[in-house]
Amino acid sequence: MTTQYDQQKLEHTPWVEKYRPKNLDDVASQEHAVRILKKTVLLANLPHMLFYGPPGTGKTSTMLALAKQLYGPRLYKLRVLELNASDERGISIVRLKIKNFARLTVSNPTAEDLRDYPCPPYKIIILDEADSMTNDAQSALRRTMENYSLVTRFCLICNYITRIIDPLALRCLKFRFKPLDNANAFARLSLIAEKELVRLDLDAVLEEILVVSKGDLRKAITYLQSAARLGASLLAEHSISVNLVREIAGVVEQPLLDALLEAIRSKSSADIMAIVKKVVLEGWSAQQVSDQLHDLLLLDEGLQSEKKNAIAKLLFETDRRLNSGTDEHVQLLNLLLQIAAVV
Amino acid sequence: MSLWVDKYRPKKFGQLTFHPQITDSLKSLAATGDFPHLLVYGPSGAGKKTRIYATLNELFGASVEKLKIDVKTFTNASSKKLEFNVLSSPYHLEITPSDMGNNDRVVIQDLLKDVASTEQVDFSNPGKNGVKHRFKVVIINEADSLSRDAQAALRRTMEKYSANIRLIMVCNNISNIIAPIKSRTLLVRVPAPSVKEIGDILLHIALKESVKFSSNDPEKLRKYVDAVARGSAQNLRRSMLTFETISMQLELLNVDNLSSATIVLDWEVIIQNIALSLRRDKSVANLAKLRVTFYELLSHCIPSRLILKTLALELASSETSHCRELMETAAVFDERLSLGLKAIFHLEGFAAKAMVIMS
Amino acid sequence: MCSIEHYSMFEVSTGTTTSMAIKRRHVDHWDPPNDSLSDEPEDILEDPIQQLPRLSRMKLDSRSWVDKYCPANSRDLCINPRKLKDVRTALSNMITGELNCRLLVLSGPSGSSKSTTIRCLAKELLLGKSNTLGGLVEFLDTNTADGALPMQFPDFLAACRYHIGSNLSVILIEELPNIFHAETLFRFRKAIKEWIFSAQDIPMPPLVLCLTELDSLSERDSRSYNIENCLTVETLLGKDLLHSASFDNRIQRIKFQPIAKTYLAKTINHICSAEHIRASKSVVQSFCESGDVRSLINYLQFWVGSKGNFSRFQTGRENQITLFHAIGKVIHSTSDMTGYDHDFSHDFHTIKNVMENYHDINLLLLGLLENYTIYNGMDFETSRAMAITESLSLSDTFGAVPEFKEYALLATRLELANVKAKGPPSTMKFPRQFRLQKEQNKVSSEISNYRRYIAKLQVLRDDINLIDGNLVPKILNSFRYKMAHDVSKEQYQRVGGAFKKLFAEETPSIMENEDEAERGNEDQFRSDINEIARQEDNNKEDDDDDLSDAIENSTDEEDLEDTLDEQFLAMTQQRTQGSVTPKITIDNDINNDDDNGNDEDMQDDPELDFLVSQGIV
Repeated sequence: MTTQYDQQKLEHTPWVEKYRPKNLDDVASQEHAVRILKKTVLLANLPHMLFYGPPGTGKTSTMLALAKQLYGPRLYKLRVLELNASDERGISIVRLKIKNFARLTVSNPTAEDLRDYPCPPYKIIILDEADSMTNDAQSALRRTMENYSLVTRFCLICNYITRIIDPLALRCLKFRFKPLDNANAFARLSLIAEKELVRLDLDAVLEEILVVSKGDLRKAITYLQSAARLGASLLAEHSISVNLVREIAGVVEQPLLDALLEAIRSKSSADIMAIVKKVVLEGWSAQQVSDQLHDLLLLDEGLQSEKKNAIAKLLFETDRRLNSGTDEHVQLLNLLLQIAAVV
Repeated sequence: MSLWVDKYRPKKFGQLTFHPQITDSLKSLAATGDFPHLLVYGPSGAGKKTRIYATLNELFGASVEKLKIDVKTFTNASSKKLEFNVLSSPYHLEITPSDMGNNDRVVIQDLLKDVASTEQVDFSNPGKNGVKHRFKVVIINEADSLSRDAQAALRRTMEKYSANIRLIMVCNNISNIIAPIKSRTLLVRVPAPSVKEIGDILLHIALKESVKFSSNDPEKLRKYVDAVARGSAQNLRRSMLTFETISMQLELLNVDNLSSATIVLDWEVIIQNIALSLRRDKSVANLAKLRVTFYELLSHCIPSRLILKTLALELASSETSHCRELMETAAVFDERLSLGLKAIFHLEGFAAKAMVIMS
Repeated sequence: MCSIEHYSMFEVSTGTTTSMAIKRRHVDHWDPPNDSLSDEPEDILEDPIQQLPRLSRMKLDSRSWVDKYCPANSRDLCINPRKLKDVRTALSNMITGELNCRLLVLSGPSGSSKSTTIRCLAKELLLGKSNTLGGLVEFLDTNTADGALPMQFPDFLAACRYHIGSNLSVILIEELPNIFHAETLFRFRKAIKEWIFSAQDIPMPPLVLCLTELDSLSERDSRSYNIENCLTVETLLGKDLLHSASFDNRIQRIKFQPIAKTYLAKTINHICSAEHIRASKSVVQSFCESGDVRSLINYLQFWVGSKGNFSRFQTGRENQITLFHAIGKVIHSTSDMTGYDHDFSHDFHTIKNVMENYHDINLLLLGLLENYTIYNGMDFETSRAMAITESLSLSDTFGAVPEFKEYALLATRLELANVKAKGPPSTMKFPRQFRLQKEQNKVSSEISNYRRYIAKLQVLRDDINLIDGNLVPKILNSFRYKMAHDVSKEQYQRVGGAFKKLFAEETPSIMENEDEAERGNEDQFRSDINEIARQEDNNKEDDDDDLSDAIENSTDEEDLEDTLDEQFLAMTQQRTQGSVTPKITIDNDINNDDDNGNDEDMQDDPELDFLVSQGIV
């Protein structure tokens, strides 16, 4: 019964978790950070660290791999505390949970562990998505970091380093994670596809996945899994098509985009209103449309840079408003009308 | 009291008429043991819920139609008791965040924990293809109105209980859904049915209900039902209700009189009148008069953003020369509606600015 | 001021209580006003104080006037005579033991003479009956005592039981033990309970509890909401105790109001005459705003000490202006516009003044929106209206930033100041926000009921409100539908009621008792909902097997054949022997303790009222 249950649970483990790198060598790309970190594993001396960079570039994976390499699976459970944004991380949690963990003295590792792993005499607290912590909570963390630095090392992981308060950032060794280059990401995806027996007829499919995920490996793996799931069940021949990938990623179809551009160029408000109505009725997300317009217009060689500037500003405004939960129809219509006036 | 919209609601995949690819995808997902969390989005009246129930039917068989209403009680942080209704069958339950008010995070967490801990016991009712499913499905309506807080909590819960629970989230647009949820669900976009697809359904109903038309010329009939669909903004639910209303009110449908095929809803009429009045009389006194009308709409719980959108589109389509400025203003006040508290300020603000723009 | 400060046993309690030990010094009793003072002509204003022998007096007597002029007998009390009579009756009944009453609770705002009244009465009523000085024993919370803190109060009360016979005293509790400590509060309540319910035939001294309650909700709102300002008799004693004791009148409660101006004026005049101060009528009036006699006397003393340099007098409570006053100030600026016409700093000061003196700025902004249009008979440029509404809209968007509110007020003022012609203004209206909310609640609850009982939760709220609410009644009301289904029911109305105008009024709307008029147009939906709810209740009670109670059976075999896709007819037919019929059953228990007997009488049904009010509550 339990084995069946575990089996099912494993089946439902997202591939992102399943194929997290087990050690630093597995980490795709990020040679710079990996090189330094490997040295620290040898020396077993870790400073406080701050990993920052866009999502899906392997920050969490690197940290987890590092911790595993330091402690081994058994000690890992005792020595590492991992908190992310879904956990309550208000100031009270910082004061209680984090502090309590931080001030624990480390237990002695068993001889076995010592043989296989460096097992340095401190614990690690990983704060994932640290930029979503309030400033108060971050300030509270400051003292804790200093007071218990002998027995505890912190690793903060965030997308935007500007949202980490200076006193915290200055106490850490900073690592910037670059967006993944396609070759590395491609290799990783192929590996997973191979292991999961996903049948891919064309490399074009993986390339399409990389394009729509824009250097975010987590997104890419998720798309691959969804596509495999849908593709496996959908078609007898078990292969994934480029279109399926685009549909899963919610990417707007090219013909519709072309029609949008044409309406913009025609500068006819009636045409624009009609096409926007169509976009909304088809359920496309306005954010996605504006993202794709961004790529199309700003990479358009034929546009002068002043116009591009103006368009970028309009796109920014619309994106901000959409983020505060405004009406897609109104915002998209406004965006297109304004762009039409500029172009 | 059975309305056509209920009477002719498809129950199974085979009865669904439009969006064949979506139907196929859902069908094959239901056939495998590996059913993912879903995020179904698209405009209202596009048949999202109908497709979901058809999927459930495929997964669990006809017993998902044994619906009952349970009252769930929760205690919030300030130990106040809250009650809300949950629609459920032995295999699924359906919740709507707007029923829970500000406590959606706590309520959803508690509810899912509750569902997950009472594992599905009854496996005597396997789906059509004999696959037994160990999980219960939780449908979350209006998922875009969940607070960020609740969404963040959902993300954890999704992972934690993934063995016993599958979530199907339904919403109109996904801009308000946080990225971690989008990346943990399979996105299913359900576009509004085309005018022709709605027309097909209406013609089918007309046949079944023996609706009398003034002429049986198929081309004219087609034009008439298309007019119904267009007048209902390609919303299938609205089209069917409109069609039933027309057929009930008139003995004989005059296919040549296409204007009789549309019913402008009462609140739409009011907004159209506001637009008309704004264009005709651009004075401060008129602003004071229109304020009464805005209050009237708001008091009937017509969503303020819908009022603004309808009014702005109405004005923009009749004043094409000021279209851009009007929509720019609408976009600004639309944002203020979502940031502010009292809608009346922004509605009157828009009306005043629109007056100035048009004069 | 709160009554929970801790004083040591040795201190004279000056803060909250005017001590009994100090006798009134002046023998001259204050007769009802010899109006000579208030009749003084206004021209003394320049020099309101004639300080003849004041300095020397101050040296002689440095006590605060609050103590100095503490009334010695009940005639001097500065309260309504009727209230005094109430308290006197209650207290004398307790002393004689005629009634069951064991505890007298006086509650009211600070400085409304609660404890002073008790002191005076205790002395007068016990005169000759007991040997104790002043006839009063008071509970003083001390930290120095040996016993455990929570037990102090019970110990004190136990000791008080012996203040009977020749020792008879009134027991006064004005200071409370630290009731924010859970155990102390528990002990406190327990001791009080034992006291109240001790056997009837045991003679016991009268026990009086004086509690400072904030007088009004508004005052409670304006301050931060904390446990101290919501201390009431209910929270202190607990509802259970109050309830059980109120059966045979073991507790009597008397509420004190802020002291009326006329009584305050008497006191002021009296003190002025005693101190040889001459104060003009207007000064006396400004003192009387407060209603707190203690703070008033303190201010008076301070005012005299500072030689009347206070131009405007800050009594304890602020001089609030009303909503309409505030709107008027913003829209029309202050009345004396002469000479200021082009001076914007004047407008600026007007707004500053409003911001300082009107506390509910959000309501003011709503009031401005409602009323800016009345300026100059609604005759000014729409661009100004645009600027005004723009500023109001901005201030609502950034509601958390107070500067934006001031900005909106200022922008409104400046825009209107630039309107050239000056026509007569129309009357001001009260903002409709509250009526709007009430209407919204009503509509929303009707939608909820429709969704719950008629749509069976299967339709979304917005769809019900926007689409079904309009179209379904049309279908149900149509002749053909009625013919087809052989029903003859009353007219269905739009879900949530038909659209009707929501006009502004000149007075604030009253939130209750307005439903009576609307009850007239009965809507068939309401009856249906009522009917279904009743059926569900019955089913629930009759039959526990809830799955068998199909309330509504929308689909039967014919319907299935009618489903959309022809090719699947075969399949559906073969399914008819299976159970594909969707059955909706309900197992909730709304109201199931109500009687279900009378099915006929629908009009005045409490259940209906309950359903209608359900969403509002």
